[in-house]
Amino acid sequence: MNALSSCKKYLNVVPDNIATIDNAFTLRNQAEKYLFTCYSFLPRLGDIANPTLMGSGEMVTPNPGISPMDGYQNIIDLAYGGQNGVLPIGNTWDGENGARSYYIAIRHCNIFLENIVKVPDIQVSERNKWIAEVKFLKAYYHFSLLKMYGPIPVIRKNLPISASVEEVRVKREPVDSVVNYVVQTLDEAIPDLPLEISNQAKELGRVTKPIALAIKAQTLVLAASPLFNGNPDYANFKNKDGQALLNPTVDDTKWKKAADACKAAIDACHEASNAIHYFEKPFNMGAISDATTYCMNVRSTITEEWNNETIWGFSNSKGSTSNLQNMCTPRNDVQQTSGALLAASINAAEMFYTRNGVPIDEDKGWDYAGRFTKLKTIPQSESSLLNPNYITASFNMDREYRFYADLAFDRSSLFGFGRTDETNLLYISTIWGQGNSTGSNSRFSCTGYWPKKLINYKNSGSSGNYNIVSYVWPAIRLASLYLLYAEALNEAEGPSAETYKYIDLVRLRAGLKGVVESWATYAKNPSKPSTKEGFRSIVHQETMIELMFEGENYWNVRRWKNLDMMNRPIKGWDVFQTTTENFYRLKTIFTPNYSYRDFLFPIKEYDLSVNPNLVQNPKW
Amino acid sequence: MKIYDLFRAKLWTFNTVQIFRIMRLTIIIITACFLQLSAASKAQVISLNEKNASLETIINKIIDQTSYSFIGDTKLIRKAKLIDINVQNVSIEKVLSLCFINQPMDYSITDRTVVIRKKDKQAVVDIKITGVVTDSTGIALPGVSVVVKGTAKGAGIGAVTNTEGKYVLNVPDGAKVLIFSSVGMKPQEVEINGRTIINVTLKSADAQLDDVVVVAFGKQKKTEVVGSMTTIKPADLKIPSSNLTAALAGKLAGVIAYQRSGEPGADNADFFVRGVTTFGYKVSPLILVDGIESTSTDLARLQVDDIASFSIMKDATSTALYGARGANGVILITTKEGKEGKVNLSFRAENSLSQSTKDVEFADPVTYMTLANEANLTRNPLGGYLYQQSKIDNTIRGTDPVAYPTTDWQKMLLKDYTMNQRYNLNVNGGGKVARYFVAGALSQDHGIMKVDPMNNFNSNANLKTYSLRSNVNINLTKTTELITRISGVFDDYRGPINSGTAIYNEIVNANPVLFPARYAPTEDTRFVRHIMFGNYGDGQFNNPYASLQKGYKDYSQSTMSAQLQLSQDFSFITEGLSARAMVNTQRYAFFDVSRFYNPYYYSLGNYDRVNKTYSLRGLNELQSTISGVPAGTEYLGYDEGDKKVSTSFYSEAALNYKRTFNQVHSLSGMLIGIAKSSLTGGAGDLQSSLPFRNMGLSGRFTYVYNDRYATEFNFGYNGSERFHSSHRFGFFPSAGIAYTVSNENFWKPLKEIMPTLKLRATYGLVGNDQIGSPEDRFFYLSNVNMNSTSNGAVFGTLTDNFLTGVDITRYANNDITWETAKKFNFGIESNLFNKLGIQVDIYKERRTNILMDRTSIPSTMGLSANVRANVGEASSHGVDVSMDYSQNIGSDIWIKGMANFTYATSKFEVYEEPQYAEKNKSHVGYSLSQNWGYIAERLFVDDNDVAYSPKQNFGIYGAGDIKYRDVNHDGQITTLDQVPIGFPTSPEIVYGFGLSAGYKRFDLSCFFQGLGRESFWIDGVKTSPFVNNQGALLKAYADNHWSEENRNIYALWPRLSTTVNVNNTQTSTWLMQNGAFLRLKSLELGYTLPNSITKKAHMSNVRFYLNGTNLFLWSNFKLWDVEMGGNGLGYPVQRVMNLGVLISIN
Repeated sequence: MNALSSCKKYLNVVPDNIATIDNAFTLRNQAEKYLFTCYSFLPRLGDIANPTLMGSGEMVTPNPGISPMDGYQNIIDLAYGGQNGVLPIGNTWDGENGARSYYIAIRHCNIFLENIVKVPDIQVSERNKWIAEVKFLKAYYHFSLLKMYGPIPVIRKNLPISASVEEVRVKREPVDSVVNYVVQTLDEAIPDLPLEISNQAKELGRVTKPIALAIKAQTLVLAASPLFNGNPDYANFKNKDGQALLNPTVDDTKWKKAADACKAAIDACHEASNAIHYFEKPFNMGAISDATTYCMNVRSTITEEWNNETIWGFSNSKGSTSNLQNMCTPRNDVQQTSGALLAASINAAEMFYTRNGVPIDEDKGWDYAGRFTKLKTIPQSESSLLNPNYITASFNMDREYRFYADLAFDRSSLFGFGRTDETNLLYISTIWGQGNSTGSNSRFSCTGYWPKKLINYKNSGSSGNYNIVSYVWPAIRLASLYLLYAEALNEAEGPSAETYKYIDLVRLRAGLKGVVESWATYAKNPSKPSTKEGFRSIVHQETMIELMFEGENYWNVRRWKNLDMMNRPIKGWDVFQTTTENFYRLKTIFTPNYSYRDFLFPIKEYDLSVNPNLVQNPKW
Repeated sequence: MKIYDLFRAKLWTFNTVQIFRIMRLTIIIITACFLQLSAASKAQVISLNEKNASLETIINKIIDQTSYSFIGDTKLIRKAKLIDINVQNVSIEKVLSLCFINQPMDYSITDRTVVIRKKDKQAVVDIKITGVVTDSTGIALPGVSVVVKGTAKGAGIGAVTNTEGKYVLNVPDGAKVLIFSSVGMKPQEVEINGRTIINVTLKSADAQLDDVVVVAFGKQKKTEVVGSMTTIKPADLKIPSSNLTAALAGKLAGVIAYQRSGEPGADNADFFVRGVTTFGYKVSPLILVDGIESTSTDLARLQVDDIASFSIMKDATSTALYGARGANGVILITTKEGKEGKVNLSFRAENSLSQSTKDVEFADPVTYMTLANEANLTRNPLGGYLYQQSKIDNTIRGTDPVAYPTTDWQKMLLKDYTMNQRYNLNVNGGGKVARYFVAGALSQDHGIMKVDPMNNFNSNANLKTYSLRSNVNINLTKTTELITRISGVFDDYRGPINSGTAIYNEIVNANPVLFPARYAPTEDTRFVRHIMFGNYGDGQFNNPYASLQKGYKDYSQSTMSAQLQLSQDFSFITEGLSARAMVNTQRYAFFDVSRFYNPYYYSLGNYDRVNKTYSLRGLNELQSTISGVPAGTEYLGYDEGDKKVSTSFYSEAALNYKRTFNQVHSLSGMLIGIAKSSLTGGAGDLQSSLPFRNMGLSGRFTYVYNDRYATEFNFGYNGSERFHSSHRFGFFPSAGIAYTVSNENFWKPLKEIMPTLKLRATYGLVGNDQIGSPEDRFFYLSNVNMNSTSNGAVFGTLTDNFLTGVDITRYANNDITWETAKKFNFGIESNLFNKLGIQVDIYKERRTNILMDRTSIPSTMGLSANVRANVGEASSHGVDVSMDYSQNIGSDIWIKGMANFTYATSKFEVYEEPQYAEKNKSHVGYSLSQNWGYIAERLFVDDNDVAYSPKQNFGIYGAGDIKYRDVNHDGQITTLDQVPIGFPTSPEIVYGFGLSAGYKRFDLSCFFQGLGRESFWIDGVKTSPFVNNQGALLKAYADNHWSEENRNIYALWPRLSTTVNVNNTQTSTWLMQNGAFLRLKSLELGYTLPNSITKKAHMSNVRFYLNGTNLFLWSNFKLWDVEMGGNGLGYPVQRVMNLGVLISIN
């Protein structure tokens, strides 16, 4: 008997106090780690690996990827139409192939919510705030899944590990019920969230009331948008038991709800002193022209971290923006080592207005037909934007300031890199073999454009060095809310002074006049802003311009069911040419072949085998 | 009463008593007893008149006439010659003396009792027998004692061989058997059969005794053994390599073994006993050296010359005593012990030449450039030329090797061959009280890398291994023996920073035309004191030469083992009882240190085509921000690698009982308790840092009847700390029977043809706790990482406000418990004409409770770790056959042959997987190492073909890419179209056969080895050319690929690409290869010096030998050595030519 018990002792090697999940909730400091864990699954938006950056066709790289892009081949594949159901790219359902699992995130949120009551040494107000934050995150992860997959299983509570096979085989829930769940959870969270972060040094980036309201607005706009609101293409999209996963009838009141949510979010933002951001010239910078100021307004909205327009900055993204900037920066006379492979497509460049603030095909005074074929000499007056007396395509001239703020290209200026004196600006040249921006088989733009918008003007360098000032990625900014509001209000009630007001606030920052005035003065169809359809088209394009290269348009285009936009051939200049004449010839890089199945991500085929209750998204 | 006393006394003196004899004797005595009573008052003189009477008749007459009684063996008495006698009234003494003239028996009279017994001394004529005694290598053995069986040693009928091994012996006429014995040799009995010249070859006692085999925790007589095991003479494992595991393949029936790499220090072969029947992490057998659990590296470093016995335990009963540790088979090795006698010294020295069996062939530089351009343009017509035509033209012309470099990285980095040395010395001897065996070995293995003369350090791999072993046996009392075994194995390594395999991988991943390996100094750079390595771009390209030359790594590895064993014979309590206890501790230590500079990279600048002058441009004077290439340094930097230390403590105590009753009933029993604890110093996390423990109580009970029927029962009762206390202990019984048919009386007529035939059968359970992965220490505990960086987050304007998060890497499960194997084995052992030995074993095994992931849990559960349960089941079956043959032709020629064959196949029985509609996806019924993949039909002819074929979901593809079969006809190629393809990745058949022959002092042996039913896959990713501008191009691909000009839809390699094409690198039948091969594994020629010379040098034996391994290979696969399988781009398997000498002195 004695021997037996000593045997048992011999094998009892585990001391007490082995960390278990309970240890995470014994003290406030430990519980805070769990709170951070719930946050840690937020997507890395300012990262090349964010599939929506390249997936929207706004940015491209050569395919197959060139060695510095090797780690992103799956993202390149996605852009080139390589999405598949076997090993889906950016699979947030399972957390594979360049993504982390939102379902793991949701489970962590639930564990936190179940256990936080156990923590003894925490103030009630702080606990309530934390609970609200995690509820928000739980809603946000569901919302993110909804954007990608449409109807999804909602995980209201965690199933125990020992749950039976029948229990774990969850079903997808209809979009409306997912939306309701997200909205309801956000509503639960909102009262306990702070309006603003008081301890900015340590907590900026944590969830606030405006953030939650903004996500609520985004959710309701998504629910009202054509993709999910009575979409006839999804009439047969049903669970195996016949339950329809989308409401088959269009419900326009959804737009009203969405508009109200947008307005509520905007009001909260204003209360939290968010406003449209304008560039604040540092005291030690010399005078800059209006053109440069407008451009810098746009660039600094992204790259000036925690500026007053940022509603939600993803502090976790900060590290990855460095790599992103590196790939977006053309090599230049100041630094000759940037990655330089991420090219802006001509499709993106076409989106921008003329200097008059109307689309290039609508401007009476802009030669739309000859845009790719005619070359022009750059006048001295454009020297803030373009290298005077050189030749460039007419396409690159007389465009709105956001064109010059967002894009770097042959003969464009590259304000920054320590060169902020406008008499001594940095210009680049991309004709093959000229200047520093090309000339290497492994570092070039395959279109002739780079997304300058994402490059911090504070970056500096030397011939063998590139010092990048990374920034916190603005996941939601006020301008996007304004445009969302204008869009929703227009859908709900048609154009009005209110819709014009908010779209014009965004245009103003870029030096553009209001839509009504601009169209009346310069457009072929001067009354376009006054109709619901006309304004819709205007607000869509405005949104795409304003949010260019931020990854949001990937979702917007799908939300609008704009397949034509998705399938435009991706074009660029003939970048390997060594003469200006030959360089400015339009080349198609590839022609996307999207169909309506591409509005939603595929669920991994394996998951359907594991859980027979799941149905695949249509046509995957 | 007297008679009774006598009877007892008699019993004592008969030393070969058999029960029926006793019965007969008893009858005589009883008869005599009654007679005595009736003849109590009779006269003491005798009258007899008999002709041709038997002695029995005479005795009966005497009993009638006198009060004398007789005691003697009836059988013996009946052997007496017939007697003619005619006497009147003479004394009994007189009568008896007359009767016993020339009788083969004698008599004595004690107190009216006549005792008849065999004659003590032979009066008959002696026969003179002569002969020579040699050892198995033909060396004469002096000092061998030769005696007639049945005579006491002191009786004088015996002789000792002289210095030439000769003996002369006069034996009595009736002598039948001679016994030859000598210290260190196995005694041998030889029947005389009327011969007068008897030459004998004695086998060394080290060799596996024929009739005694080593079994778990003891030894058994061959007839007693019921389990299935393979034993091998250690000498048969001798190969010219310092890695013993390389010798296993094909030598041992029941062992699946193959060697995938030839790199010194990393060339251990993979080996499994009867294949693999579990999905757990521990699939290799338990290796026991002198009872102590050892690693495969310990085994690799073991010196063949130190091994006394080597056996493999395969079935349930033979491994049962090891309990949970033995589920995957056991390799049992004992080292030699000292033997009584004078100092015996043996020294071996070997020098070998080692070279790769086959190097991978690459395309020439011009082809490389041409095809790189093709690769770029065929995928992306806008892509342009990677190499301008002018560069290609100039390369062809050889204009300027600096400006248009062509680098054969293989030549640049690798030597054609290398030299290795091995030395081994052992001494043994001892006296009555203590015996010793001390052995030391030293080996030095070199890699085949070249070293730049500008470095003053040598970065070629150089592995020195030293080992020391000391086994001492001390008789503390007549019944107590103390054994100490101390051993240490020490590896000192210096070699390239990255492993040799990594260097090979870099060669495959290097551009041959972008830059030379190094530049010669130019006018501007004449003061540069470092090697100017070539590179390109930012210096981010792979220059294998720089990787090799930039520094070196030292590692040191040591294993120390100390063992104390005490055996006590308790015969004084009851006969056959003994006990034993043993403790052992092992210490392992490893560290590595790298010293290196950061190479300075240069590329060509300002090349003047006319004058062919150029300057060199440094690429990494500063660290590159983009590619992260560090700035070059001229001085050495330093990097500390892993430091691993671990200890283990093992103890066992056993109680043994073994006794034979009445000559025919052999009983034995053993109980053994073991406890093992090990600790590691660099576990990495708390749970792994806790001691690993294992304990068990095991028992074995055997009963053997008359060397014919043997039964055995074993059990293991084991505990493992990995399981929850409610499932911690497992009970695993097994039982077996054996029947030696050839020992039956009825077999006698067949004895000439088939001297032995034995049938065996066993069945039992074996447990296994080494399931899941080693990190899963405690299945019943969740594992929570409270400081997970990946689950951390940062907030605020201050960048340092980062908090780590919480991550769950295991969910607790109290129910996880032992994996259980049910094993059945049936074996036949036989021998034909005493020349051809055959052993066949057939086995079946079923494993249940195999731990596996619950695949029924969907991702929506959000679990961050897999949930597992004991739900898997697998089975295996197979057959092991071994044969050996020996034949002497005349006195000068001997021939030996051996062959063995192992077939082991496994299959999934229960495998939790999603409920696929497609049958082809299910694992059930397929081998555990079966691969699933797509059926590649051909390459796509053109884009039209692509458009009209089912969509393939593995990234971008087009004409010239691999077309897969839509197995489930759903119009697209998805994972559901995967089918089991090819053979398992681990071979199902391993075989070997060899022949050795000797003529006088020469001996020659060869050994062939092969394997079959194995598939492997060329690594499509690693062999993809041009990737990152630096993937090398295999010549085979250059010669045979799809191109737009040559649309060969069955080409070896699909359409070229400058990146890894995911469509083409799916596991499919396209790059599948048959791994079967047959090779001449070894060939050896030996010569033993004549005694006359040896003696002058005061040596007893000197043998020179020349041998080689991996000399020829037959296989359909030509790209690299097929044995390396999918690892073909690594360090090649080596071909070794070796010269050695073995010297013995005693």
